[in-house]
Amino acid sequence: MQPRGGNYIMKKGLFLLLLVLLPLVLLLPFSTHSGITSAGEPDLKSSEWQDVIALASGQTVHMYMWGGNNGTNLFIDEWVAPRLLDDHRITLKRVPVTDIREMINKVLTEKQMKKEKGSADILWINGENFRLAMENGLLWGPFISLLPNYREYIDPDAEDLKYDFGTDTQGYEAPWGKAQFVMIYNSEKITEPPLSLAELMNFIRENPGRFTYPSPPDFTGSCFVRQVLLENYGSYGKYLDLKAKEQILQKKADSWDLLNKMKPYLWREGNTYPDSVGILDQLFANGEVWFTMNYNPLHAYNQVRNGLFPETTRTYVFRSGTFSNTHYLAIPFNAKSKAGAMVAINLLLSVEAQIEKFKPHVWGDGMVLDSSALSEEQMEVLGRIYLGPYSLPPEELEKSRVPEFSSQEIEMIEEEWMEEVGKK
Amino acid sequence: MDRPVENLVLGLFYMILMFSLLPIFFLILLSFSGGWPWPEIFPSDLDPRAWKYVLGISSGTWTSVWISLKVAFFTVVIDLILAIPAGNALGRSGFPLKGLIETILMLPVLVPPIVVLMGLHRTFIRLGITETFTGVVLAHVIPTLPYMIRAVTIGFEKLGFQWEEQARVLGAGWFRRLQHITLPFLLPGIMAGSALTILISMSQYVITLLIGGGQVITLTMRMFPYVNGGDQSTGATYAVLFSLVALLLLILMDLSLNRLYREKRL
Amino acid sequence: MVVPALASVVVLFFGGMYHGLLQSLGLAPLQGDPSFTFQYYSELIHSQDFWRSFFLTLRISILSTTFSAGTALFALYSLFLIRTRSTRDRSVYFQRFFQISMLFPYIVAAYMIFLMFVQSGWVARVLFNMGLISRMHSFPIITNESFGWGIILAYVWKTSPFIVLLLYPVLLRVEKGWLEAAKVFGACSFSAFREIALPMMKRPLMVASFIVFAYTFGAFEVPFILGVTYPKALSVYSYQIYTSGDLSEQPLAMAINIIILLTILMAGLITFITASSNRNWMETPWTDL
Repeated sequence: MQPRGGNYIMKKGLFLLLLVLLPLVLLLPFSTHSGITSAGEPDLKSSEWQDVIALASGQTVHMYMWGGNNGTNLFIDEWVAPRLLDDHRITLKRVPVTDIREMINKVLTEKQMKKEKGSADILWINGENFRLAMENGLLWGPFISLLPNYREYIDPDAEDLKYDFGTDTQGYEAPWGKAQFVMIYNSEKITEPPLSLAELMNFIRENPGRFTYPSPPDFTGSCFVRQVLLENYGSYGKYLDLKAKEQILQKKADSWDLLNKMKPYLWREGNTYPDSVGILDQLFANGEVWFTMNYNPLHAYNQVRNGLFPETTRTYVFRSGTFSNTHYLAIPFNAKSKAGAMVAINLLLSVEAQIEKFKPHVWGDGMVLDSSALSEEQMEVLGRIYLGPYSLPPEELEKSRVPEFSSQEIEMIEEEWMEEVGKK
Repeated sequence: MDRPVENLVLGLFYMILMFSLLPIFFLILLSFSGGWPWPEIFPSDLDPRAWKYVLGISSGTWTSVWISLKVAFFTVVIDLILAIPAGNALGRSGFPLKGLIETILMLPVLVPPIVVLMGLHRTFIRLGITETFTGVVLAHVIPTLPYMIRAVTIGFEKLGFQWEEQARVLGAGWFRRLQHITLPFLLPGIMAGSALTILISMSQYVITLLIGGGQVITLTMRMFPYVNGGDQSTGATYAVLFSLVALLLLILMDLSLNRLYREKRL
Repeated sequence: MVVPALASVVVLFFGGMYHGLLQSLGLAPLQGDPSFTFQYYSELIHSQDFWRSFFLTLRISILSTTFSAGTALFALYSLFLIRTRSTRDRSVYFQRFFQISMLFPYIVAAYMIFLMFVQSGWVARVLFNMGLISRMHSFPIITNESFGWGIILAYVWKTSPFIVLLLYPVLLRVEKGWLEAAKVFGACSFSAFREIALPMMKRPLMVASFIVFAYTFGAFEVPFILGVTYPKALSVYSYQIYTSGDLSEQPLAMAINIIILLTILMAGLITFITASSNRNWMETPWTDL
């Protein structure tokens, strides 16, 4: 019994039409993006810094960075952002990211689709991600020599800043902080940490299940694998030598062999590895394993302070040295607020910001400043920062710094590990 | 099967229910823990620092809660706009190919959203709706619409035509019919569909990440880096907060539905 | 009337799949000219990695669905008992209670399972303190292991309430009168459940199980958190290829997605056929009453 008068149909028909149109209407106001080209943008590269600041005023800067560390997040949100707002009227929006590679891929897709106005203004990247970005022309620059703080406080010739995992940064990314690979252990269980690979192997054999490393492509895990390679090469110098003479393969094979021999004595007998260093940290904190590792030399200090690691945690580096790298800030080619990004990055390179970031209770990230450019007062402030027995003093770390392999080499190493060790 | 065995079964059932609660309890404890080494069952070091961080203004949590709710709300609105006429037709009329259309509309339930959205991503880029609120809402409509349609259809099925007809015959105008007859029948379905939609929308991560591109930062976006290797206490805190928000919403909807029914006695 | 809904679904949902399909066949490349090719599918078929992922995902889905259905039926029987025992039907509250896990997004659920069942997790600690295990390592490995038990556990926890949700209304339709009649004939509540309620639930159970299968086969977040380095679940595998930055590999990811789709469709077909053939069998028991 369905009444179907003419009126009824008409009413429903109109209703229907409206409803079809409504979703389309909702779509409209947001499709006008792609029209604006960069031709309308002022040439920031040849502007005076004062003009850049003026342009940046009122802009919103979206900074994409890893979101899993409260210290880092708070530093940006509570120290950096208010200063940018008060001093320069710039709104800094921190975007928490799980894996920056996703963002690189996004910008890559945007470039393919010719999207001129992107969403990211600053990317926190380095290494392979940087190389990928450069190869595909995803970054804007060169811009670092335009930043006053760069010119004043950072050594332009420092090789470990200029080269990002073997790739010439060419001014497209600004060094922000330094990292160095360190080993962390529980001194309650281990009296003498194994300072060499041979010693580590012995230890693992005698204490099965107490050691593991994150599986590549986790960055820290990948570094451990490279440390193994480094020891087999002998030193960084010897590595370059072997490369030139194309004699590397045998040494590599030895390394895979070693890692495979290590397997049965690892956590879970090497049948699985923690997927990330964060998970390894959890295992260490829970006492399942007695070692962890990290690219942040102050990590042990931070974690003990936060009550996550036991008080008996200590840090050490291998006798043959550990890899040290820099992390950077870059600006995508299609950033909407390039001027704002420049001002923000400049602030992050300032002495105040670098020292603040270095403070262990804030973040504990290494500084990129040239110490010869600092004033006496600034040096004094630095000296007052306490590092505790949990981490190593800067001098010791500096002595053991080894430059990183190139990102291609690292990518190859990670793939080879998967084939030679991971899958077996 | 006799009584004691039955009691055993029930006992087991109650135990399972209790165990369902355990992880929640554990999560709450974790969110308040400073350090929690083995083999402690309860964390000896209670420290609200994770909560302080999450609830503090700087962490951006509240903004994300607001955004998650906004996205969910608009998803519900669009779902309703699409589902009500559809449910009307599916629930009350017969028409050719009805079965086929029903099946087509239900299909998104079966296919993982990520599969669809990888294909849709480029189109969204071309339309310029990636990284916009609108884009994310549209992306959320895809997995939620079938549920809304289903819920609303059931409402219309129950409604049929006869009640409205009778009321019309008795002289009630269309507004009164709407108020006293149509809505009371439809409301439970609308509420159920909306509740499910909100739950699904708020739970999305990969879609919001892909389409939102980091510009639409929902609560799950904030939570995920912590869950994936970040600080555990903070991760637990976000998880608890998320659950509270979801629970609150559902209770609110339930309450308002009950109140509506008490006032409009059927 | 259905046009707007239908249009949206067609455009958004089918559009997305269609585009993915095109890409997987080489017809919508990001660079270069489109050319119809099966190379991506062939690459997958010849890849050991792919097959390992495929069978891993398949196994996890089948086991999850089976255990979930089993748990749901157990829960439903318990609810049935609760309902038939007293005059006031309190089963509704228990049913709602059982659904607690539905509140949490899968990410949170996976995280909870991880935290609880990792070898140094909470359950292990309880057992240790009870004296049931002597060392952390004695606790069985559940999370992040290659069979996928952690994943299955998380899925069962989250999906059995869903099945109960779908089947509970059927339970409510069992009239008290029939049960009285059954009791008169000497049937205990288990037989009553088996002969009366179960057949009524057969069809929705199949549909619900299929939905659970479809979900677990294509889901991403849970295996991402609880899975192992290798082999990866299909959706994780596909996503990682898609976001790897190597755009030339994107069609591979799309091809995997299409295969996921086809598998789900096949499962759907099987469910449909089994459900239809069962129809006659299902009608008989209670028309006999």
